[in-house]
Amino acid sequence: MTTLIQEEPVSQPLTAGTSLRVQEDAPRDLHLEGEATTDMARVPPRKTFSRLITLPSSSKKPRYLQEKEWLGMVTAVDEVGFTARLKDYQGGPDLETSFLFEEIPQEDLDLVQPGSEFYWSLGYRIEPNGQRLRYSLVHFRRLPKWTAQKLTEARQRARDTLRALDSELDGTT
Amino acid sequence: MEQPSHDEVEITLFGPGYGESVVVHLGDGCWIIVDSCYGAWCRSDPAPIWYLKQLGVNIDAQVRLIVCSHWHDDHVGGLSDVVRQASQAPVYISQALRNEEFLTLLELYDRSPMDEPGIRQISGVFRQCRGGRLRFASQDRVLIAAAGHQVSALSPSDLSVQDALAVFANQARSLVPGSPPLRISSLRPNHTSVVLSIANPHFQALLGADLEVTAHSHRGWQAIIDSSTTLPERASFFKIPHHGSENGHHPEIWGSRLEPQVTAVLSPFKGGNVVLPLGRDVDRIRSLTDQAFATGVPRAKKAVLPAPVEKTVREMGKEVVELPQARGFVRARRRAAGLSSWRVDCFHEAGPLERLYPTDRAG
Repeated sequence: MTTLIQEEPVSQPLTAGTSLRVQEDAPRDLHLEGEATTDMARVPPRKTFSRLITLPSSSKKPRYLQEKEWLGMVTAVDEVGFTARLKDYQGGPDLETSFLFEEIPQEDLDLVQPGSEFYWSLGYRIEPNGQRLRYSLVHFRRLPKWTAQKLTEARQRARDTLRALDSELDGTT
Repeated sequence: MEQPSHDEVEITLFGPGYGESVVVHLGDGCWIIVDSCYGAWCRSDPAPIWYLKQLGVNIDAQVRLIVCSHWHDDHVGGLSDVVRQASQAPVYISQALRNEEFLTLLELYDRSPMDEPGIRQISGVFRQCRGGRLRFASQDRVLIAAAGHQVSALSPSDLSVQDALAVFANQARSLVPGSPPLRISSLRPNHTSVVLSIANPHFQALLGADLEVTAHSHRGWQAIIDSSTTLPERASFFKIPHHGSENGHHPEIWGSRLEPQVTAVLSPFKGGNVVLPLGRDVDRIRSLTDQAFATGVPRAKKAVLPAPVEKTVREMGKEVVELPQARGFVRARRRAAGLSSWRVDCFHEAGPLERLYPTDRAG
């Protein structure tokens, strides 16, 4: 397992240029930036750390602070959008709202049909410079496809159930 | 609330806006439960169980029959809990569900991460009802004879059962390795709903489930009219089918199989963008009887959200509401014997159709 330990106080967001220590068993495809710096040399030697890295520029990513998430179920679809029932993970009453198709990611549009499920989360997006923006994310659930084994097992159990019902109702058991 | 006396018949309808359940007292402390739902006023128990507990009924001993009219989500909320608590009662479901194709779907979806509440409830019923407790209702089958009454199923017809089998088989054929799970609760089994007649020598009642009208003589309401041998001559109580919808309305039932001023009760429906009854449904029903009642009008209530969430929702121009709920139920009682009329009591927000749904309501 790779553990990244931030040199800066943990409460601050990661930004490019932050120095990090990398455990020895870190995968070799990490962006390592040479040998230990002077700062590193002042730290008492510890077996598990050997190098310092600087996060690549791609790590300049915003953070997300989620305030609320619901599991939604599409109940009706029309020309411009859909209505959905929202289930609260924290046990509140079921709610209802509607969405326009333009609020849904392009790759999820095919999944919008009555009965399909999605997650709707609301919160803050915190930019690397600390600016906070409100966000609303809709993500449709992709369920595992049926496997041959699952189908075979289900059919067998169905046959067993039917046989048991028939014999119970015939009074033979 | 007081229990009905031993010689009183009672029919109580619950319908919170998304859900329906009927509780019937046949007399002599003998009760039956048809379908199940939860109510806004009773979240801990399904509505029929909550009600019987309020009356002080010994549920385990006195509930003598449970009927699941069909497996749509709005008729089976908490049904497996009802079956568990009324553990001595035989359970009848539609004959349309007695086939390998449906059971395969049941097995698959009960173990799937997909949220299919109706399937989970029916699965729970199958699991609990071993040893001959689970039985199947079809046209003209007598389900129970007790306290001087006979309770019979008027549907599903043989052809409706065959239709359902074809639908399930078609769905089952689409199950191949690598195929994605598709919703199955949207299949339309309303033609296989179990309609019940309750009869003794002095009165008859008809519980219409969600059965719909079709043009075909061997399906839906037409099959009952054409071929049922247990259809009441003149029922004095009618649980209006399919939440008052036009597709559950058969003129011949109203014209020749119900008393002219029949006591008629409906539960409303609000799901997605479907709202029942419509204004024209209310007008039609009110033109047929002055004794029409409803369990309420589903009303949306603004959701209470944490302040930051509320602000985000508002800025997005969205409206998030609690699921519309009708908070009431309708109870009708009469003497089982002799000449008697129904005495109707409306609880909470239930009431006469004319008060809850004024005639100028848009359809």
